[in-house]
Amino acid sequence: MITAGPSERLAASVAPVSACKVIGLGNAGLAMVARLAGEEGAPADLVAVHTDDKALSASPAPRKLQIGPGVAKGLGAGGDAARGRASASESLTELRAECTGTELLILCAGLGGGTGSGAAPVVAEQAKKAGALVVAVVTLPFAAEGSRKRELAEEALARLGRHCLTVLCFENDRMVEVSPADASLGEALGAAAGVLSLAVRAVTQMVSLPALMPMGLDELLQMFEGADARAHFGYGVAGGNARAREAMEQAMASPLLDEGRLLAEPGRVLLHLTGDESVTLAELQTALKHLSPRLGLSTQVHVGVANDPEADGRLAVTILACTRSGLPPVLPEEDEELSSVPDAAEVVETAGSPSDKPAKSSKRGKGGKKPETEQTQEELPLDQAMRGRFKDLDPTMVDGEDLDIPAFIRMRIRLK
Amino acid sequence: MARANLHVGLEIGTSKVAAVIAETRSDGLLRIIGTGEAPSRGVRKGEIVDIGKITLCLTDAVAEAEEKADREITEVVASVTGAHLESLNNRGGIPIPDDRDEIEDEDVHEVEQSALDVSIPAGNVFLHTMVQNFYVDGQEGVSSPLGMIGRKLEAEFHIVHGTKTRIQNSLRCIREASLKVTNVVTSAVASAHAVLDQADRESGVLVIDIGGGTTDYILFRDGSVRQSGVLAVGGDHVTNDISIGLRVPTKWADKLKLEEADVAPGATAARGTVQIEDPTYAGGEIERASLNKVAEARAREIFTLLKRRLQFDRQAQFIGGGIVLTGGTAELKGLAALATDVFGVPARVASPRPLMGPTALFESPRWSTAVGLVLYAQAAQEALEEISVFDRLRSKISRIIPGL
Repeated sequence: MITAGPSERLAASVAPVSACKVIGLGNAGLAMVARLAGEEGAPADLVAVHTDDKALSASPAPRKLQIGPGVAKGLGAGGDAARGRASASESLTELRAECTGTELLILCAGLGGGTGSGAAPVVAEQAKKAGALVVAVVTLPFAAEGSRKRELAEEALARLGRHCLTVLCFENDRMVEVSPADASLGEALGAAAGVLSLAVRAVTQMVSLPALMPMGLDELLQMFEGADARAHFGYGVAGGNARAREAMEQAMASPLLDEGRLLAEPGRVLLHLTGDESVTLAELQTALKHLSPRLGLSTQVHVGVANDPEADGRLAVTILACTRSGLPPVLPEEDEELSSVPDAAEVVETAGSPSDKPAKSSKRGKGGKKPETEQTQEELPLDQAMRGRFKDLDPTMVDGEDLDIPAFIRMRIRLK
Repeated sequence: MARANLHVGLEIGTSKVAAVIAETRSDGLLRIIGTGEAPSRGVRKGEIVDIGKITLCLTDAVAEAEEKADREITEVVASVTGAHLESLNNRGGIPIPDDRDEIEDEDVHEVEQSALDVSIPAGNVFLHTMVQNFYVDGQEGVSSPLGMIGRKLEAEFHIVHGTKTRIQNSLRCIREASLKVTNVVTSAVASAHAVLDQADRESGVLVIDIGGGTTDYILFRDGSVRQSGVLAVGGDHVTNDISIGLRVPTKWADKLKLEEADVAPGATAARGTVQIEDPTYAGGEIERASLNKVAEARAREIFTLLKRRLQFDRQAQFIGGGIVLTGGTAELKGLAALATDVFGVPARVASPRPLMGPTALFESPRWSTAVGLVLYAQAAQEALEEISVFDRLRSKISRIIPGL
């Protein structure tokens, strides 16, 4: 089924550019923001957020926010997600203020490290509470970086998904496929960063450029409702007579869409074209014709076309695909258990700063999701302690919360 | 005395095993003649995790009841609970056979079967089919269709189902104790039998039975069950929260919960401290405000979850009888005030309705499920007898008027 935004909404659904904000969080997020800042016509307000004040001062972003000055003491989170989370929690007010008045927040971060994994879900939650729609653009660590990091990222991803309209996740392993095999490391990383900034630009353009066929926030919202929060991204841009076909081919060939194979899974697909006034109806049809045969039967397609006066004769195609059934499953119960832990530490005021806690990331292993993980029981003490006498039982999961964890901890009620 | 007149209710709860032996006297009234109780071991969140341990507990409880009643029992009606229990409402309908107009018992049975034609998860079994409304030829408000004239009989039912293996596990220990289970009743249904009368059900009421490991709820409107279910959170969670929040051993947490905690709204601002007189515990003083905050947070969460799950706001106007709290955890101080605050309708704590028997039973909400089981068993037997009376009558009449 194909639905196009009715044309009478043309004017109404254009969000003012100022209502769109990009936050880069942690090292990877800062790198993405730096790249966006270096490009012409930065698409939105750029804000750099980090625990590390040196990294912040080096960032070209026009706005900077240091989080967790007390917890992280101006250093990085050192790969400790608990510290990243505690840092964000320390600066809740500032984060909320930063997000207030923002309609669409694009949150860029690399998952698997401390600041990104720990703080991103908190930032997303605050933004959501401040009334913003949150689209996260995140990278997942290379497989070679080890299963601990991977699990930390997966866990952060699952928690992030709860507060985000959608999460565009980019596997670093896939990102290198964007570059030719003989590309230098610098080229490969540059190409990867380029894809990320393209994704950010594409999402901002979708909602901020004057639309021929509008793709408003409302439609984005509808598209992602009830779907797996993870989306996959394909992008192509081409000029010349056959630009529609060429751009589509590029987009479909994107390794991030698993070369188009992901589209066959039932779900929803968003097709967005950006070009100058010369975009023709025939080109839109070409693009759709190219897309349709690859789609699963029950896939719903949303189409939007935006007008970018600076496109200079080139047509850009963005494909976002979100499958209905989650991709690599992250067991929600594991995830929830985990997320409550640092809060617990904070509220109960067990001794020491959050950084003294055992690495949270480790306990993931018990879920059995990744048989290759080397985790052992002694690495999961904290959340289990929070479950007390229920520690050996199946958790009571309701609305994604593990009810076996004390209610006052989950509600963040402070005790004397 | 005929065996059918003896009813035994056996509740295997998370915190205790309770056995109630009752007999139906010749005047039809139920009299409780023996009770037994033993602390549970090997039960978590309403489900049995250690059959060996719990079998010993239930043997103790049954032996105590047998001794008091001076009877030996062989059969019990057992309650089940656990997060695996689910419910739904469904409508069934059948045509009345052409050769007659009058609705017979078998039609009622058949319409019930047609309502069970719903898909439930593989491995689940039906536990209850409770009628809400009958419709004869589309006409609403028929309380009993038997003997009515019509071409079509329809009915709406509240259907409860659960995971077969989990129910079997709950019952296995009873067999281990050489007892036969004649009927299985959900805790919510049993407790409602104990604490409600017909007037309560008619005016609409929500029964919340908070036990040690689970919170079982059942909502009545216009005399029949509309919703029911289980939340696997109970008094144990309050204890656990206190233990973690105030850093006291479980034994003390339990004592603090039972004797000192107050969950009424406003009690979180309580002043003063509670002294713990335990030489092994060095902490000494517990802030009342902290204790109440921890307990209130949990109790409030239970109510808030139920409120959301039941979409209670839409139903509040039909719940003239308010909230009825029962189960062991209903003895938590201030619970009714908290329930009133959360649900916005009056709430009260209820113990089993008085029957003949030891009065201590009817002064504590802890006994609701076990007493409810014998009441349920008696009601089921009466219903059975009614049917057989009707059948006998019909067969007599049909001899007089052939073709009926």
